[in-house]
Amino acid sequence: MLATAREMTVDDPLGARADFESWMVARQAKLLRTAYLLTGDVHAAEDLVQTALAKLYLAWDRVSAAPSVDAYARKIMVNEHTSMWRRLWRHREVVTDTSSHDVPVPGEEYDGVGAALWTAVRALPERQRAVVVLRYYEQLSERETADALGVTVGTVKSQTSRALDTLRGHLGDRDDLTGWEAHR
Amino acid sequence: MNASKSPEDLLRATLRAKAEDAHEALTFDDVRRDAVRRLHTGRRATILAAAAVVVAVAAPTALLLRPAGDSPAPSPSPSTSTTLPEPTPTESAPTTTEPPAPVGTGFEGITRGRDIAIPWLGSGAIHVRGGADVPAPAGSWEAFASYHGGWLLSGTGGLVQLDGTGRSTLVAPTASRIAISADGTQTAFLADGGVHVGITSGMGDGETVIPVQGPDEAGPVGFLSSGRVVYNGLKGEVLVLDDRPGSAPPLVGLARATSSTESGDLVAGTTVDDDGTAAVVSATTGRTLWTKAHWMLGSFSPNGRFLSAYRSATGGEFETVAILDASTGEVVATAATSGIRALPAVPPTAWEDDADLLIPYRSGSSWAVLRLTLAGHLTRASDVVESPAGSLPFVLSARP
Repeated sequence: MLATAREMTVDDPLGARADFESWMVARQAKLLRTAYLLTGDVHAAEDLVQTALAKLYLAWDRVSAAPSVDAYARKIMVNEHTSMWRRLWRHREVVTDTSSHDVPVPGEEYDGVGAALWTAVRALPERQRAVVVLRYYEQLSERETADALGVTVGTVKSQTSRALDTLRGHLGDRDDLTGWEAHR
Repeated sequence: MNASKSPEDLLRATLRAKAEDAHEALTFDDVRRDAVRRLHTGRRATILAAAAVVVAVAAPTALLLRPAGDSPAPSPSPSTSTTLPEPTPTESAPTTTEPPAPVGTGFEGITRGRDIAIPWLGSGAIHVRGGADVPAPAGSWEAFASYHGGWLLSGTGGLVQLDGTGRSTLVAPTASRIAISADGTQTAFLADGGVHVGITSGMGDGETVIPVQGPDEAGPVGFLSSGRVVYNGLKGEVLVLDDRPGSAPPLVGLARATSSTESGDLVAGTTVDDDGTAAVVSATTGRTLWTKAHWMLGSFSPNGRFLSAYRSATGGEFETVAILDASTGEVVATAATSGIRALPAVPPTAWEDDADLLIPYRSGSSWAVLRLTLAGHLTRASDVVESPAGSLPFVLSARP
């Protein structure tokens, strides 16, 4: 929305947003988990979610009536992530999570193989990682993933294929991951 | 246990388990404060954007957009321009062996040359050589250009229009690239769901708005002949806009454009389905003139003959700023900076004229603007200033 500078006040530029706050409370944990998988860093994930929520807040008048606010929020976040990566590339302000990214989580779902797989996921190019997160964590369809990333379905397919090939390359020779090669 | 799972199942399980590491919560006040900062002072500057202002060449008399088909012949170029021939497409242009890095670990050894000749933004003001400084509002500004007798500023805080005295007259919460025709007559930016195309020197009239859909990162990147605008669209497509409703044919071969030029109607960008291959495509024929792996392209020189570019040999951080021949992709000159610690890998460069590229450069906490010539000479175009990490003390206007 275009507005004259005089119309905005510092304290609350857009007025009370109780509905936004309710939505945010309900959804931010999920956004944060996705952001963490995208960035591989707890602090970067918080920054990403905060940025995405701030943008959503500024656009709440238009967005709140949309059919899927969640999808819109996800889209903002993924686009911001892409943007952040470009900026990080440019300025070498590379964030590194030293607190948890290689720490295995006990349990059946995440053992040594999972740790190696997570390390390999973190090493993927950002677009491929985004596709992997949206397809395999968010469980989005190829079409939904394409919409979130602002790319074609064909790009999603090719990026997914490349990402899985890369993961296979990293992990295919492990004895405890025999099923990987079998699914090529 | 894992052998019984498909790789895809294991990937899902791994992501589910790892996602549980993220458990910090934001408050509404955190978000609202961030939003207010974005409107008024910019988001906290932990990360800098470096959106390049795009320079293209446009017909001087093309004050308003015209249908793409009205002018099949190339528009007249400025007197200094050269119409580029279209060479045979190549898979990859040869990469010239990079000369030794001309830059040391700091600014010592770089001769101080003449001052910056184009407007630049820094230290809270817009500086114009030979003119009075114009105060700029606080914010993390990434691009700016003169417009309607004043200025347009774009950054993480949104887009602001200033009048000639520096007073804010317009605020849009969405940051946009600012595309400028090289002759200075036209400017395009994204705001309020439309691409605004206006006469740079006008005083509020003569602005055309083309409705578009797109995320924040979408927007105009430059001009082609007949006043057409190159636009990064919503679906990973590069579109060519004119003022006819619904007429926005996608440009085949590029997933994202970074700049364009009316001289030869060329568009530079990134190829489809690839994360690190640059390409130049003819908007007239749709042919890809050349591709170049592990490069990102910047802006065309005012005459359209050269391109600023950034190379990453590893596909990761960019370590080289270079000038390429726009028609072949061959390296003309380079400021090889590999191995420089704390280098801002891709500074927002800007053309000062047809032969000089300005490069904001950081060494530690010290910044200066360097000038790279077509002959490969590197000089310093500004004083060295101290600036903390996360700030950008030099934002260059691309206006030649």
